[in-house]
Amino acid sequence: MRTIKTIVVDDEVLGRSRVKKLLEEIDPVQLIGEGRNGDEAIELIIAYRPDLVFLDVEMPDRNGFQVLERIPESERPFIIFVTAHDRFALKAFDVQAVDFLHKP
Amino acid sequence: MFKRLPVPFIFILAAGFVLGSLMVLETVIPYLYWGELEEFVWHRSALPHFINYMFWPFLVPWIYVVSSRYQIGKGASMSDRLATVFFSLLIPFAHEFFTTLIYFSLLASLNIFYFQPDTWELIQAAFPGVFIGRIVEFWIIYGLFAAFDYYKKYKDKQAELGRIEAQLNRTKLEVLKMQLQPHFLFNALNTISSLMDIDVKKAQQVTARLGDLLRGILEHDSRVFVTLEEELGYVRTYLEIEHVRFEDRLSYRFEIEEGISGHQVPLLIVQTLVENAIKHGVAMVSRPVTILVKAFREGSVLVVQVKDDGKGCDAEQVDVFSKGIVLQNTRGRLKEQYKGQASMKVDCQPGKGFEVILRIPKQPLL
Repeated sequence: MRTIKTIVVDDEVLGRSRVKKLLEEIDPVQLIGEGRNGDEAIELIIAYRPDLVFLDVEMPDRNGFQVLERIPESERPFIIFVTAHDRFALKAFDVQAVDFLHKP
Repeated sequence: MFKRLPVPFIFILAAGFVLGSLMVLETVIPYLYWGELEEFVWHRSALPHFINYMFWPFLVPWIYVVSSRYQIGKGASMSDRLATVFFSLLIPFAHEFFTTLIYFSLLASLNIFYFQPDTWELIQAAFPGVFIGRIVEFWIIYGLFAAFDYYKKYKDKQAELGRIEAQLNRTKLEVLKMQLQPHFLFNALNTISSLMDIDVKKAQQVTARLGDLLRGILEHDSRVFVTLEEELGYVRTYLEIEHVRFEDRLSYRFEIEEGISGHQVPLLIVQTLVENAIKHGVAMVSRPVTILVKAFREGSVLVVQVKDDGKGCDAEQVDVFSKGIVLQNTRGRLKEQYKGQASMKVDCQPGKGFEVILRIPKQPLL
């Protein structure tokens, strides 16, 4: 079975833990890294070329949308935005996110 | 009818007695001074004054009725004004009529003087002068009631304004609570939800602390003001919950001078500043940030400082941040509740964090 290389980015440890815990139950998912802010997200995406990124919207220094602006469209993995705020939902689909995960 | 008077009738009677006695004294004193007391005809010089002032109290309730029922000030109707003028003639006339009757009856009953054929002419001759005197006395009493009525209306209006203002403050507080609720609840529930997977005991602790905080603020605390100790209790609980969320990225410190815990502060005034520091100082920075909550006294003024060492801002941004909803609300609440006696100062430097200093007087001026 093909694995899905996945990265989780969230500035809160508990936020990352929650997503990681959920992903453990899904076989094809292979967690290859985790980031704490927007800059780390960019580095990880460029370095590891993941298939899927769970990306927090509100983060220090650079938010989730700003992260995507720095990744060329051709190199963008599938993105699932993770946020507690509904107001980001429409914008998430504008930038072709595949899904939107609501916290908690 | 006497019950409606603004002062007890017995006091009005006493005032009549005192004034009457003073008038008697005024007429007697010159005779005493010159040692000619034997020439003083008390029933002629003193008794009319005494009867005059002792009789006014019985007409005062009527004057009060006239002053309450008919208006003569700005915007009053012509019929009200005419009615007042009519009673300002009728009541003094009634006064003069009855006091004259009483006077002559008393003299007759004491065998001092009897009504003579020419007495009626004497009364008629004296009438215009004394009648004008009674009219002046009427307007003096009327004026006292008008002044009292004005004062009472002023006090009632002040009390009403106070009630409206207090209601407004309570409403604003409710709005503030509602603002606090969703954002904070989202984050706290997210924290609890995440903890459930990795540390159930900690999740239970956070749930309990969240319950404490919400029960305290939303359910039990409808007060506009609380003691500093109670307010800092809410702040501590809030920070404990947020610390679980941010872990090492958030640390906090309290520096509270001893003996100031009873100082009254507006409910949630410090909590909203701390929440603001978390939102802009901690959540927006990757590195660890410390929040300092400091309180001390300067004379009778309480100084509260909420400071973070987050990314801060440059001089131009201070104005922008100062106009944020939270800081504007805080400034507005202080202005209303302390009538300009309280103040809020915002200081911000690049890389050195954000600081808000409140100066709160001992008593609110609602």
